[in-house]
Amino acid sequence: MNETKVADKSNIKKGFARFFFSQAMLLVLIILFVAMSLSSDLFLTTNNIYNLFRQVAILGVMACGMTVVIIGKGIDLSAAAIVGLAAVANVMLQPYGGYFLGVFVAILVGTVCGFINGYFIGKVRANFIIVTLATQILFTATALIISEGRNLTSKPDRIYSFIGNESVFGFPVIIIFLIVTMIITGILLQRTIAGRRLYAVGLNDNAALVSGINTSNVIMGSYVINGFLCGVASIVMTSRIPRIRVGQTAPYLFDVITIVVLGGTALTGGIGGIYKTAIGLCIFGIINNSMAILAIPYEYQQLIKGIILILAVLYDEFNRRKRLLYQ
Amino acid sequence: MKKTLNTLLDQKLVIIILILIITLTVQDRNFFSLRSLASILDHATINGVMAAGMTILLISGSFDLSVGSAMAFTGIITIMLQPYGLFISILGGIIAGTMVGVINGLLVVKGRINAFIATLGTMVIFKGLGLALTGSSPIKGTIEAYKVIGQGEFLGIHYSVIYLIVVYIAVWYILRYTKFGRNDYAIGGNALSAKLAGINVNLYTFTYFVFCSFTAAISGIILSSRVNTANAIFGDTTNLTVIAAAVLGGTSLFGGKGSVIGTIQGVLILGLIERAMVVFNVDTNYQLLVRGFIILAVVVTDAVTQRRRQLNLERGVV
Repeated sequence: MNETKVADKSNIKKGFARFFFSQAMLLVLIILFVAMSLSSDLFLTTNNIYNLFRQVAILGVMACGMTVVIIGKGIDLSAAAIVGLAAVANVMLQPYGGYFLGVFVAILVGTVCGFINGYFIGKVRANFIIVTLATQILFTATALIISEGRNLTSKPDRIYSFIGNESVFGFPVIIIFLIVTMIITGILLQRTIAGRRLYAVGLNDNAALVSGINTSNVIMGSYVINGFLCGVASIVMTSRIPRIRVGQTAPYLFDVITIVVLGGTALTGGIGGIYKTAIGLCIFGIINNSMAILAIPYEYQQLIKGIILILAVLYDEFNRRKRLLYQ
Repeated sequence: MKKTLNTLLDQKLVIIILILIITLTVQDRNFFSLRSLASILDHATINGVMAAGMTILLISGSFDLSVGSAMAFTGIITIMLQPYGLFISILGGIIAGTMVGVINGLLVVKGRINAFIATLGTMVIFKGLGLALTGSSPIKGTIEAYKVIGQGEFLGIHYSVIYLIVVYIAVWYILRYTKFGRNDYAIGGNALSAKLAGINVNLYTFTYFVFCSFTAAISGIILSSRVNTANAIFGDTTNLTVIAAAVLGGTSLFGGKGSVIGTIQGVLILGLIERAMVVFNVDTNYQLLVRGFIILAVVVTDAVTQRRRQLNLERGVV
């Protein structure tokens, strides 16, 4: 009798520990949210919350793609360059064929860029970091060459700027767009065969290979999806910001990686998901927003973001060890 | 005949270098002179010194994206410390740059973080720190004597050529004849075997990170002395060029394989290509494109070679 009670107690303790380590980021988010609401009157207003999400919506769409790639034990350092190239192609073609051509080309360019990455990483098995760093240079150079380094301006009328700037029943369309993208990517990862295979490959690609999964194709597919979502992100971007310049997207890359890692998707592959990335996005959005409210200079913002990334990765490793312990 | 062909193929990098030099000489008659050859080495110094450190790190199977930031940070600290005297400023700069490697090493060895993400983080942190310290604008040096390090000449040849040669001889010796160097290949070849053989893998990996940043700090001193300016945005793309030079020279990204003799050839090839693009008046955007293609080609070749090696191992043909 007594023994079972003790066992129960330790089970509860174990269960609590497991919950704590798996949902710690949710707690961080709640604490941050409450702290910011109490410390600043400006924070908890509908307008500011909408603004917070408007600011990170482009990053959110990109983070969905990055989550897919990181689950497959990769990373895409060319993501920001793909967004830049797709945006340039989109805006430059709009005068010739209208928005539909622009949107179509943006998605096509994104997907092709993703395919190039995927081919060299999945099929040729070249180091994913150097490949995506090299394609980052290639895509940026291509964007510079076709735009001749000029600033480009799209002339968004009400139809095109609908995604970026309009509201439906007082709720910004851009946020709906972000949520829909997240749900679709989440279903793709959790509820489809391809998604589950991606987790298997990320966790142990040799085991996946011998159990009959075509790992090359799965890895290639993850980069293609990422490229596609980068194309989508570029549409959101051009719809929200009419003036674009090559290189303007470069800082997005680091932010996107921080968001994904902050949520708890492990860089070692096979662990994570869109739910975690959504939490990471919210935390990042609050930090971003509060740094703006507190008027912290840009250089220090970069410094803080770098430190947050390192802390998040350290926590991730700590978490992995605990998880092994409580399994 | 076959033997000669094989020897030629073994030296394919030397052949590429010769072809590039001949092309440049044909285009520009004044190119082929001692002074101009020295100036190629001179331009290659900054990337070259770092590439030597990167080679050691790559052989052990890790790598470092933060070398560019370490280089720029060294320059900033050196120039900011100049009011306290020349010696202290240089010492402080080198310590600051090497600290980047200490942090990288601790994060990778103690924190067990992936080398790539740890160095990506320190890259951003130290660039941010540099920007914050300088207020995002370049700062100028105040001591005239400091300029001698990077601009001084001996018989028309810059001192930097001498630094380059000294660093390469030192690293070549270390890799070939010391325990520090031999353990490097052992760890890169198979870290677990190395550990079982009694090598302190963590300690050595940590040291390789510190050494890599130390070479970046030396480059930072040479660069900031040459232009007598420090700027946080120096070295934004250096990391990639340096890794590409090492891999072009035959150092594998998979670890366990490589030499500085290859690396210096890689550095020279990249330097000559840059020079050729200037001579042939290639637009800067196309220069960027060419650079991207070269790096992609290098990494793909590395992957194909590695796969062939593995297949051969499996077949028992070594």
